[in-house]
Amino acid sequence: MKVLIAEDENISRRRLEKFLADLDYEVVSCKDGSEAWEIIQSEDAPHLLVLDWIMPGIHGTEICRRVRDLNKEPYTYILLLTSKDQSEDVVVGMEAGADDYITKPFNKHELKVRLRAGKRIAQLNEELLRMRNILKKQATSDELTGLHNRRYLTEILEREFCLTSRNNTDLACILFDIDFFKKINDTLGHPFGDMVLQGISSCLKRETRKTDILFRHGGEEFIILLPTTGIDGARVTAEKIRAACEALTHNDGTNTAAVTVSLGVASINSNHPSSGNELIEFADKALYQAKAEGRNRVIVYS
Amino acid sequence: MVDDSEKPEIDDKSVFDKEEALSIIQDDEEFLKELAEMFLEDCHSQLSKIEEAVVAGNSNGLRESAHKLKGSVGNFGKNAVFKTIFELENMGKEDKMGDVENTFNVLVKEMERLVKALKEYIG
Repeated sequence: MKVLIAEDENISRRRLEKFLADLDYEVVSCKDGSEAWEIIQSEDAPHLLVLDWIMPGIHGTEICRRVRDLNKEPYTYILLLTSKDQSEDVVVGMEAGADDYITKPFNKHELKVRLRAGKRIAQLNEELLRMRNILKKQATSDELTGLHNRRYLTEILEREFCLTSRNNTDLACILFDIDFFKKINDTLGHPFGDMVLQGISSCLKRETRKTDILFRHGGEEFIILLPTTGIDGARVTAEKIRAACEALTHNDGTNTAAVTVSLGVASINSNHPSSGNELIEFADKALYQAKAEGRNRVIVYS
Repeated sequence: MVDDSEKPEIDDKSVFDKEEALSIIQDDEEFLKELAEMFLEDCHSQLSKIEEAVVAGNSNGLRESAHKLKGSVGNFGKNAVFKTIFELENMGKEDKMGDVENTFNVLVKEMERLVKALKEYIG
């Protein structure tokens, strides 16, 4: 684990450097507070800091305050170095944001266990953030297809809608589903149906741009939000998707099937919905019409 | 002039307690010698900073410069220099600069003895 040592006094710094290196810490060290502050703000800053209280430039307590204001992730653990006669100031240091302190000249056993405690907290925090990010991703994505899920659509739909009006651009929506999907499930089984959903999702990723946002809305229904895209651009994308899906064959080694999709398209500037939800309702009406007109087609709401 | 009748500084534990200094760094003699060399390089400039503060009657400057030297001497144990420098730092902290020159003169003498002991130790 990487540790920053900030200590202006040469001998104490050298002792710390050697002691920490012997304990297999990766040591970064500096001679004053300003230099320490630079390192702390850098991209790969250490998450464990050993700071001297009194330093030229910026004092250790001020760095504590700044680190807490910065509030970076993961958590930065701070061990403050004080002199014996400064022990009454410990409260000041801990109030400033230090997690722990040790008096100089430090006792090696004490420093070792205090650093270990700091390392434990830094590592627990890293693990917690890692898990949080995994769960966050799981909460917003569809397990089967890897596309975003309905929950994420609810989360961002109105925001995208407001952003579009504020930026004076357009936002298009393509809503589509797989024709006669129930028949696939009924005749070839759900595992085959799942494979078809995955095949369509991969095709969707290929036929859209990085800025388009893809959702599995539920069952065999998909939604694409196309920011800064007008109705004509969305119609072209929808047609590309329709053709690409039609050209796909789905094969599980035993059975082969082909499916088609029906798509409804709407956009804010073209249809003037009053909300994100209404934009989707318009696309849904167009999809309904596509189904009614014989499926495997794109209909633009008007 | 070296007085041959004087006992070597290295044997006076109040000047430099080798055992205490070694115990602080896990009995690593090589490393203690490295630190002693660093100290010998740094100590004169540190001492002149303290002298400047003493001459100018600058209590703040005395507190800071004494604090730093205390930090570096402390790595060799609680010797006489450590105790005197501690007094000087407190004089600066409490702005009691009346007797500061006398204490500084004591410090200079003790520093000379410590420097001598460390030079003897390094060999």
